[in-house]
Amino acid sequence: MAIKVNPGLIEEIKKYGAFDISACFNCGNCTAVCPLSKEKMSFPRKIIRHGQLGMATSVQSSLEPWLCYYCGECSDTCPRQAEPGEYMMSLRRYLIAKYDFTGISKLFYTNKYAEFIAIFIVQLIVLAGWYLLFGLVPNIGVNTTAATLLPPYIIHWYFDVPMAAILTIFIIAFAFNMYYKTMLCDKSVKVPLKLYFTNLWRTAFESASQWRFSDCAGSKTFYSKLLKGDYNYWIMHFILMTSYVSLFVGIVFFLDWFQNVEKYRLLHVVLYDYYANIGLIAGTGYFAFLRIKKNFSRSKFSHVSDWMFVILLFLTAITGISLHFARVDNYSLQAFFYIYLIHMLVAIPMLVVEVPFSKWSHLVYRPMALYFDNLKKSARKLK
Amino acid sequence: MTDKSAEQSRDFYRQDVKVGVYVCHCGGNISDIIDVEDVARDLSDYPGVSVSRNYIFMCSSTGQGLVEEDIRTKGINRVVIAACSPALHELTFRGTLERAGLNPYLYEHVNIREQGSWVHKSNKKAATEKSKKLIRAAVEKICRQNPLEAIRVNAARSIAVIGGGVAGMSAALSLGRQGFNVYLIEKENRLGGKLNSLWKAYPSEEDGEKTLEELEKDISSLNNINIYLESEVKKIDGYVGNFSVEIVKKGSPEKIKVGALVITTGYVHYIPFEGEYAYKTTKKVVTLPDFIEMLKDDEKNGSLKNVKSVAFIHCVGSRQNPSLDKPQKDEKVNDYCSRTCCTSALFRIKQLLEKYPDKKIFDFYRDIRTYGLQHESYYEELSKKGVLFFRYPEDTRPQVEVKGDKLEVKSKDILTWNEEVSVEVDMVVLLTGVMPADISVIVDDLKLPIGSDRFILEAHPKLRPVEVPNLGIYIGGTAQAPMDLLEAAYGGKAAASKASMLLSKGEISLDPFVASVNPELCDGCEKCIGECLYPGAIVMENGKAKVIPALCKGCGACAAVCHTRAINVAGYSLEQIDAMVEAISKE
Ligand SMILES: Cc1cc2nc3c(=O)[nH]c(=O)nc-3n(C[C@H](O)[C@H](O)[C@H](O)COP(=O)(O)OP(=O)(O)OC[C@H]3O[C@@H](n4cnc5c(N)ncnc54)[C@H](O)[C@@H]3O)c2cc1C
Ligand code: SF4
Ligand code: SF4
Ligand code: SF4
Ligand code: SF4
Repeated sequence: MAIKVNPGLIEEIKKYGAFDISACFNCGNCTAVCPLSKEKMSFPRKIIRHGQLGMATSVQSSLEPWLCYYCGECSDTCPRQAEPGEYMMSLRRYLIAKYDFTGISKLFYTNKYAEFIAIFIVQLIVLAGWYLLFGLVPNIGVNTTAATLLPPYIIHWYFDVPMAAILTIFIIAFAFNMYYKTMLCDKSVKVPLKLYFTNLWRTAFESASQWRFSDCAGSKTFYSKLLKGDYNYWIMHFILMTSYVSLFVGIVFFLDWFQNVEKYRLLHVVLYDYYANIGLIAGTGYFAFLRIKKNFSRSKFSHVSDWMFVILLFLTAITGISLHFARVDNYSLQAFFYIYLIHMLVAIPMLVVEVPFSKWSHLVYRPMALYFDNLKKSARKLK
Repeated sequence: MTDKSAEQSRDFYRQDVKVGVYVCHCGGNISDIIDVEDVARDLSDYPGVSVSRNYIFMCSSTGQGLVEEDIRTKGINRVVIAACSPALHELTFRGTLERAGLNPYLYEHVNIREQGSWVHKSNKKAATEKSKKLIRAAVEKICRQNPLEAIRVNAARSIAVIGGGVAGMSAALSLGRQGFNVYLIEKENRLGGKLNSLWKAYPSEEDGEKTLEELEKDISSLNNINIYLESEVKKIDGYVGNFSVEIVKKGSPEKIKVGALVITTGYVHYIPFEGEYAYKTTKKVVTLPDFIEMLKDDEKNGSLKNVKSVAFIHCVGSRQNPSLDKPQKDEKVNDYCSRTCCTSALFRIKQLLEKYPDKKIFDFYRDIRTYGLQHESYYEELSKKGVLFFRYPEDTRPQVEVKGDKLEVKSKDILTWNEEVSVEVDMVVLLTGVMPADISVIVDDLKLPIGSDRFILEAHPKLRPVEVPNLGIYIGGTAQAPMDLLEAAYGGKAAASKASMLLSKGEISLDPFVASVNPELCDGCEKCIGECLYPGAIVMENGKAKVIPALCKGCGACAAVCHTRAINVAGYSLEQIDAMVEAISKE
């Protein structure tokens, strides 16, 4: 069957940011230099061509965009300045929008204001809930403590749990959609059930260590690269991601314990007071700095959502720390009340809007893509 | 040795001959392999040789000075130089002899570099011996050489330029400006050739008509350029300096005499066969020149407004393959690249998109050959604008099919791993190539060499550009090969300057190495006439053969067949050749 060319697709993908990709004349330099492209999973040239020809099914069923970590080597090498790395980034946005059947992600990516409006709406809901539960002025008596003013279990049941439920439903639905598009629709390999289990641990290790990332820094020895700072990007990325995940898990699922410093005090202090908060602040600062400096290919183009991500994360971290100190030192319940409100007004919209519909969904899709890629590879080997 | 030389010195012929032999080292190129001192020593006592030397660079002014000095002070009257290829320095040393007051043809050049040191690196001794033999043969030859005089022919200071396109007009203009009498012969009713139809042409985007008007204005300001419109050449004969051209001008014949010819007859467009890419089966498949017309038309009345998508197919009628494409009348396919279609088409797409940015363009190429100064930028610019390119493999051809009121173009695409792709479009443009105009009359009359691509063949692309082997005939523009306007203009001007160099003195001197017939020996058998490749070079006069020196190329074919040994080629007489063979074969 001949491929029916549809020039509309590439125009659609360009809406997600890949403004220059039409300039690609298919020389293949990008694929040759890409440290992550493998024979059976070669990119980015192939998926650029599929995009140019308008092969929507093939593009939507591809895992390649999730295997690219935007090192930018390809963009630096492209003789036509077609910015293939940015194209891969745009494809990730495009795919997020495609896995999301609600159309919300698409709206966020293609409309400049949608994301702000959505955040604002969620903030209104949070504010309304807060008003109903606690009022807008703290009711502080003689015996009031942080725990009685804003009891963790209330916050847990009225804020965290509903939010976690919403997130989980969306994420599971989208993730299944991804599974459907990339695995069920791919008739070229059939993955036996057994492999789904045997590949689990391998993927878990890979995504936790993000070891594929470090392939991206050229080919000198590990230490010389470490000293020269070649790994800085990946190290910061790793710190940011682990800080974020540990906080997320702590807050959403173990809020009681999270706010109760006394239990496992040492772990608490080391993990949350130092590692996670410093990680978040330093990480967001580092990436904001890169985006401003724009001297790496991968930081050259900033989408609204990229900025939103960094800013919200930064605000969450700052208010989170203040909150922590306010509580630990008990210096002002008044301040504690308001900082907590602000914290909720930043953190909840950020999680509701960004996690399933925007950049943070990478956290779900990337490990899944790794997993699926490993599955397909093992299945092919079986054959 | 002494015995032999004593015997040979009795030879009457050599009594007053004094040969100087000069063996060059070529800075080591020769002397590293050949023992030049031994060679010079060996030749010094060869009969007839008075002086034998070796020197590091004979062509240097000191080297040439040695020869001049020997001629003046030692009475040397024959010179043999054993050095590099005569193609390089034969003229240099003729000049040396002339400066010293000796007839320049009393000199023989022996190539002991290309035919000695360079090819016998592994056997120095044999190389040395071979050089000695070659030089001895040269000495024998030069001893039997008579002084020769260059042949001088009178040359008319007038030139016929055949074909009035941009190449012909440029040639006529520069010749006219130098004061030559120019006949510009054009078969159509207007000058300009394809300039009339190119509309806004790349790279300057200047309208072809405007360029044409300027050229016409300049040409008409010179009254020594005679323009012959609606005129065709019926017959050409004669030779350099004295060509006679029969023209039929608007039905009436006329004859002109010219000293040189400039041929700038240009090209014709390849016309696809019926059904080739659905051509002629639907009006929606057009050729590139048609498309240019349509663009021009569109500027006035927006006629392309409703065409939403266009596919372009490269190399139609060019770079053909006999197993895939239909041949021309001569059974040959056009296997060459037409060179301007790629750039021209991309440039036209750019023009289209500048007016209608939303049109969808699909380009099926085999290679993108946008040679030339900024032409690659058209390709890059179009990619950026979203033109989608496909590359079809050389052993396949895209297919065009009519599908309702659309056209479907299907092709294998190398850029998509040889998958088949298909697009639906409103129009298909075929990048038709070019073929030389039919000028068989001129080619036959002048015996012009024609390449396998049917274009006129240059004598040598680097050493003798725009020349053909026959003196006095120059070519320019697309009659020679596909090229763009600028190159065609360059070609015309180059041909003009060669012609003007030739005719500037009013007299042309030709090499004297031509045949002559000894009427006493000739029995009129006419075998020689049948053998000669150059029409009119050898003719019968009063029952005897006679050579016309200006037409004879000195090839010697006639001499070889003459059974009475009546024909000799000056500088290569039968006697000289016999002596050389004898010298070489002697141990
Ligand atoms: C589709 C296409 C588009 C092009 N676009 C461009 C462009 O945009 N820019 C550019 O630089 N180049 C372009 N070119 C190339 C350009 O057309 C040529 O380089 C140029 O026209 C060649 O000029 P010429 O004088 O050699 O030949 P021609 O223009 O063909 O002129 C030859 C003349 O000789 C006459 N003639 C032929 N035979 C005889 C005879 N026997 N007796 C008397 N007269 C005779 C013909 O009638 C004609 O007038 C294009 C070519 C093609 C095919
Ligand atoms: S290097 Fe650039 S032009 Fe070449 S295939 Fe990759 S994106 Fe296209
Ligand atoms: S950005 Fe890096 S990982 Fe991604 S495609 Fe380009 S070279 Fe490969
Ligand atoms: S110029 Fe281009 S289209 Fe024309 S023959 Fe050559 S390669 Fe083919
Ligand atoms: S030497 Fe050659 S060209 Fe001259 S007349 Fe004889 S055959 Fe013809």
